[in-house]
Amino acid sequence: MTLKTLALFGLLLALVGCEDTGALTGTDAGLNADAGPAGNRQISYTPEGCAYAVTSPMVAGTAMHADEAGASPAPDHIHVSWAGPSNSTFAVNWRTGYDTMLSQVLYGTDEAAVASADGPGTGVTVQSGHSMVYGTALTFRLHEAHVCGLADGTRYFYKVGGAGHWSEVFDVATAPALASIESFTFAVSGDSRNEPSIWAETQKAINDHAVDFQVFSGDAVILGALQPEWDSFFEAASGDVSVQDVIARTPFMLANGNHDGLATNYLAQFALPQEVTPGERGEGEEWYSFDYANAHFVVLNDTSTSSLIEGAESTWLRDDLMAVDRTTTPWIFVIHHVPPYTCATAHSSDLTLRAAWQPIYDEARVDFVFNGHNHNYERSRPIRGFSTGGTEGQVQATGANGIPVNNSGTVYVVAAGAGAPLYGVDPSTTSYTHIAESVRNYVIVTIENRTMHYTAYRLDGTVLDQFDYTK
Amino acid sequence: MTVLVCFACAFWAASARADDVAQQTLIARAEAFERESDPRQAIVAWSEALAASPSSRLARRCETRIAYLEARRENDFVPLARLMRMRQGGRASQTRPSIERFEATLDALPAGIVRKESRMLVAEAWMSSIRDPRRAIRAYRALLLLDALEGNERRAILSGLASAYSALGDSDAAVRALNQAGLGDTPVGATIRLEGERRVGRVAAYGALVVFILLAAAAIWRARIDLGAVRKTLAGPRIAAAVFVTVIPLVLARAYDASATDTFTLLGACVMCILFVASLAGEAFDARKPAKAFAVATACSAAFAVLATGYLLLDRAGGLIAIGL
Repeated sequence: MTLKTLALFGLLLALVGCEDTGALTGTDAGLNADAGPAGNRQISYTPEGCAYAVTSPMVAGTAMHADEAGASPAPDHIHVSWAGPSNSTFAVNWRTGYDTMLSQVLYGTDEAAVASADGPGTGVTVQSGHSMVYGTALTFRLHEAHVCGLADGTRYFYKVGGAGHWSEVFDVATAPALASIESFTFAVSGDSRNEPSIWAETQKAINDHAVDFQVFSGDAVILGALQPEWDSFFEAASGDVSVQDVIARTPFMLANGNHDGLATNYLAQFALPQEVTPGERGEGEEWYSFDYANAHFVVLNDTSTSSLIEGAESTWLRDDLMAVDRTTTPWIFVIHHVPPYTCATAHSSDLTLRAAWQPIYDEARVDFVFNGHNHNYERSRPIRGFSTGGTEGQVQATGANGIPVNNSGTVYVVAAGAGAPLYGVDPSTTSYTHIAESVRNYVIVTIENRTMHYTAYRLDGTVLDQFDYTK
Repeated sequence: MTVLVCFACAFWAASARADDVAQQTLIARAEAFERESDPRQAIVAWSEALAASPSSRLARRCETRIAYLEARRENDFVPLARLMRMRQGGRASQTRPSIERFEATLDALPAGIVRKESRMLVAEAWMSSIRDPRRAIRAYRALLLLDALEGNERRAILSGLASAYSALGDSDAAVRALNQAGLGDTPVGATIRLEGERRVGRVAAYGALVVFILLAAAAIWRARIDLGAVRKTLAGPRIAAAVFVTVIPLVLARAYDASATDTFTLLGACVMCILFVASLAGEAFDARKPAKAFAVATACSAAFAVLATGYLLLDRAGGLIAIGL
């Protein structure tokens, strides 16, 4: 009877496990692979001119730039992000064939000069980076280069590769000076997994807004350790616009979702701030923050263990937020995957996250928290504190259209479903939901000094939610 | 000399910053014109903003918006302005009369992006806002007649068409539309297929459960199993074990995703029934009637195998979460 019971329990657990989250316990995919000419399994260095160090994840092999073109040197999957200050740096990642060791970026402010150059020269500068290989097939190589010492608020043109084998020219702009009150615009989306065509449509729509950068709340792919999933993510296209066309020009700052699993593929393909705090995994890319003009952005990983969430990550979060000078940085936005407040009929609100992080959000007077995980659109009323003796958030003074009054509370937004199947919503089950709809969506936010213009769009272009908020 | 150079640099920097400020003011004006659904004024403002500082960080936004509006210039922006008003109004403004009025204007539009995007808005409105799948099917079909549909657009239209057919309960037509779009093997296709399968599966699952219970009851009746055996079967440890193998997976599944509740409730109910019959047979027949005990054990094992296979098939089709019972 006992054996039968155990067998049955095992079968049922296996059935439950078939909908596994994909989370990995390690970050060493492909360790059995032959590193071949790849070199060390991990690389750490300070890029020339940068004030920060770069450390790769543990992979099958790494190498610094070398003038070896190999058989398939054409770069693809090109995309930009920030690992350093947004007003003076940018980082770029791309992919080539396995035996291509060309890891350079050529850049300058003169498009024609960059386009015609085959190396550094007048108005054109070169920066070398590193490359990584992982996985068992070893058919491709990922490259990463960091450009630093740039002027703020400036449009740069760049191409990647190496002598004789450059990509097309893209442009990327540095942020205005820190604490500047210049206006800027960013996009929010999440959960692109499952359907690349919808992900491509979302990126095409975001591209029409020509935002300064994007934040993404996680679950880019179904299973983070499967490279073909990531290939689909980067190669998705809608008409004449591909995802690469968009994120090669628009810095893309993402959070780890439960399906991404903090896999090697996630860590190797995105260059993110790497200030390692005790207990943090992913060489410091597990959680991070960055500033853009007069706003502070915090990106968290909420799919790790509760001890990490409640311990090291909470400590870092509190320290990070308390260090923000609110006189020059009036806006704080937090991005992570799982929502502490939701009215979806699929995943319910995560009470562990709510208990661990809401008190910190409250103390720091965070303005907006952007989440995914539930594939729909939701916006809460302003929330601060908890109901007496309870775990339910206290809805605070609410202005027209559900916005905060004099920074009365934090607004929790779920903006996801850029490819994953939609989940239902039931606003009648909560006291805090202002608006909710089961629909494909993305959000565009423009900050003009102390005024926020916020618009959530459906994928058909209709306005889903819109307000202006001044603080 | 150095002072002169410094002065020139400072003057240049100051004038560049002034250009950037002027550009931002013009961009704010252009965005306001767009929110007011006035593309004619918006494109002028975007062009002025670009001219104010053509190499600034915001130049690409100006270029992108100019290109976006230029591509939709049909009839001097009149159709685009109408489309922008519909979009700006959101779902609240998408009433049956307003969509009918808007749809009536579309036939007269020249071929182009605005006509295509307007028809897409109409189809989505019939499907999602007004929830009239018959009108949505007509709208999606009108879209398919348009020239110059890109690959993703055709897929999106056929996917919408499939959803509309599915909402009407016509799974065959839905699957045909998905196959036509090349979406038959995607999660969207699986979802639509599952909806059809669930209707059949729901009846079959409940039917199989009822038949199994009836057969078990008849077997118990024919074997004249006494109440003592039933009481022993329902003893505490057995109940605890049954709860362990049925309720715990349900709790785990629900913790992962609330929409898995119905799927795992059915699984738990089936497992509970099979366990009950197996335990009862064990109590009633044991060593005195080994052939009957063996037959019941075989039947119960087969029932478990059928159940496991069914759930593995369901998982393969992507329907383990939310079977929709």
